[in-house]
Amino acid sequence: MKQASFYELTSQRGMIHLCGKDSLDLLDRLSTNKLTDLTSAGMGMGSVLTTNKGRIIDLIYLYVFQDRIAVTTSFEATQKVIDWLDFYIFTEDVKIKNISSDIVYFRIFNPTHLTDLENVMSENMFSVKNGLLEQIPCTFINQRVGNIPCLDLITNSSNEIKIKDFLSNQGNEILKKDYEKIRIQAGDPVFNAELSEDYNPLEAGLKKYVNFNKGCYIGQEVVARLDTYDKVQRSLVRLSWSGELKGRALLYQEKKVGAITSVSGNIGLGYVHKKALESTKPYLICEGKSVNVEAVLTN
Amino acid sequence: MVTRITPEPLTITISEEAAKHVGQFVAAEGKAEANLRVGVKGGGCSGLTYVLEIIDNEPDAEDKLIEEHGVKLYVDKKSYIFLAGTVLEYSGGLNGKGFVFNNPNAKTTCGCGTSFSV
Repeated sequence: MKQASFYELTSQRGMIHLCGKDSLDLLDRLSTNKLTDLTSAGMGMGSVLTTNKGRIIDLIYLYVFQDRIAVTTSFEATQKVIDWLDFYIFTEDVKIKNISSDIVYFRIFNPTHLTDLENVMSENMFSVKNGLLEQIPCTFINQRVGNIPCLDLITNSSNEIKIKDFLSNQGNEILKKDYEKIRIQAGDPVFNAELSEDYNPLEAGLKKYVNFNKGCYIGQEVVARLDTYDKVQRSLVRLSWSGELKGRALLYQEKKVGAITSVSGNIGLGYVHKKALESTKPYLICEGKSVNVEAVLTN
Repeated sequence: MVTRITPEPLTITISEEAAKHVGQFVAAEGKAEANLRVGVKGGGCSGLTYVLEIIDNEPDAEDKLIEEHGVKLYVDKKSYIFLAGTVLEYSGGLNGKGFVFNNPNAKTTCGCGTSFSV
């Protein structure tokens, strides 16, 4: 039987609260997914904030509560996201509060093996619920890393030790290097590696968070054109190789066609130009060693 | 000889033609006064979208008021930064677009013409 395992994501996830009647409308006008479909408390969705050139500011997740919208961000991008939203608030009723330093954030795999969590589990991805664990108020989110389902647990930072003790007693803590391997294997992009203003959501495998029928948002014209005219020039791919690699540049037929963005042992993620991916067995070279494309993570 | 020029503060203006059309809309809605909110909001392909609406409610105390050709334009302080120097015009005829913002601050304008970036 598989045991539950958990990883503390506090240093990697930020959280902001948006209050005010115009919050959802503002976020909808600034990001790629159709957030107006979030019609009731408990619902959640992923969406991408993009520049007017269609480049990624951050991948955010939004969760609807009765009195607010909670938005999780990449920790390092949190201030950038707040500044971006704040710039676009004119006469709207929206108040932003950064609560990143007040929370702890755990990701639990195989959560069904933990007692007391049955009632917060859901088939609905991104569904969110408040509840008690060991009498501690927590927020539970049904999330995924790639295709792997998991449960995210967020609580006040003052509860960190109690929650960590509970999780440690019933499951294994995942080490940072092991989580990185899970993340890369699952093709889950992170900020400053796969997610940055160097890339657009279609290159980064985030098409699932782009709604092509929702109408205007910042960057919409560029993103729609890239998709309609098949102009996406490179794709996020999962890579593997033998031995160790220190370099990042990927060559194909002696030309640079991409770069590795994340590495864990002998697997990694990277962006590769579509021309090099057209071959059935693309033969990429990094530091004179051959690198295999395991999967194209475009969608 | 040096000519001294006193710079005029940038403002938002409405053309006579545009004001005439505002008057027609206001009359059609059975309103006595032509009070118009002009502003900007986030969104649209390029980042910022123009706002233009006839208002009934009391304007905000911090709004700027510009009165021209019988039309009162109310502009919130933040929008004013992006609209200073703009001329609100009306483009009629078969290829007309209706009300048009000629905004000198707009660096790019998206295909639909309602969204711009600075």
